[in-house]
Amino acid sequence: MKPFFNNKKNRSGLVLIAAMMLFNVWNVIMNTPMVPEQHWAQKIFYVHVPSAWVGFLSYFVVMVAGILFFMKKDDYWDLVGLAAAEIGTVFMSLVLITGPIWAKPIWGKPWIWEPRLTTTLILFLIYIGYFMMRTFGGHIERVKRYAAAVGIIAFVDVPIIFVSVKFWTPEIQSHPQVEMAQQPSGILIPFLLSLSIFTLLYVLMLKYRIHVIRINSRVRADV
Amino acid sequence: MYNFFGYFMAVYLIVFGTILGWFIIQFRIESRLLNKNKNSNEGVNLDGT
Repeated sequence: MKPFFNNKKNRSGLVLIAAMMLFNVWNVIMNTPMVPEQHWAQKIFYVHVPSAWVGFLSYFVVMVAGILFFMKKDDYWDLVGLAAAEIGTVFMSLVLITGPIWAKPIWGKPWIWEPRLTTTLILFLIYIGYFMMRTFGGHIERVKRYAAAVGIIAFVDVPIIFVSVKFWTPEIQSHPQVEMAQQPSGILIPFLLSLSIFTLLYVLMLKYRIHVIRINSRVRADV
Repeated sequence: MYNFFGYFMAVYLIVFGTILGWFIIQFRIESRLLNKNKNSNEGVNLDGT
C-alpha cells in the first residue's frame, strides 16, 4: 500500500480544501456582520455548528456502515464504521469544547443542563462507551457485531438532539430558537459555505482514516 | 465586560489546531505502519536489526 497523499487526487483535494478553509476563515472575519450583544462571539457559530453537523453526519455514516455490515458480512463496513466513529467523536469533542466557550460570555456560565446540551453530551458518552467496547470487548468478531449494533442504536439520539429545542418546553431551553432560514443572507450564505467546506473536509478525513486503518489491519495480519 | 475577540480566537485555534493535529497524527501513524510493513516484507526485524 502506498501513502495516501502519494495519490494526486488526494493531494489536490487536501490543497483545495486547505485553501477553501483559509478563505472561509477570511470570509468570516472580514465579510460577516457583527451581531449586536455578541460581537466576535457570534462568529464562533460559523465553526461550532459545522463541527456539530460533521459529527452528526459521521455518526450517520456509522449507522449506515453498521447496517451494511450486518447485511453484507463484509469487514470493510466495520472499518468504515470505526473510522467514522473516531472522526465523529473528534468533532463532537470540539462541539462540547467550543459550545461552553461561546456560552460563557453569552449565558454567563459555560454549561447549563438544558435539553440540547444534555442530549449532545449523552451521544458523546455513548461513543466513549463504543470505543471502550471496541478495546475491551473480547473476541474480535463479536466486537465487530456489537460495534455495528451500538452504532445503529446510538444514532437514535441524533434526531432527538435536533428536535430537542422544540420537544421540551421553551422555559427550560437556552439554545437560540431562531430557524436558520430566518437568518439574513449576510449570515446565512457564509454559514452554508462553511458547512459545505467542513463537509468536504470530512470526506477527505474519512477516506484518509479508512486508508490508515486498512494499512494497520494489513500490518497486523502480516505480523 | 467579556473580551469577545478572545473567545472567538480561542475557538478558532482549538478547532483548526485539532484538525491540523489530526492530520499530523494520521500522517505519522501511516508512515510508521508503512515502514513496519516494508521491513516485514523484506524479512527484516521490526526493530530494524
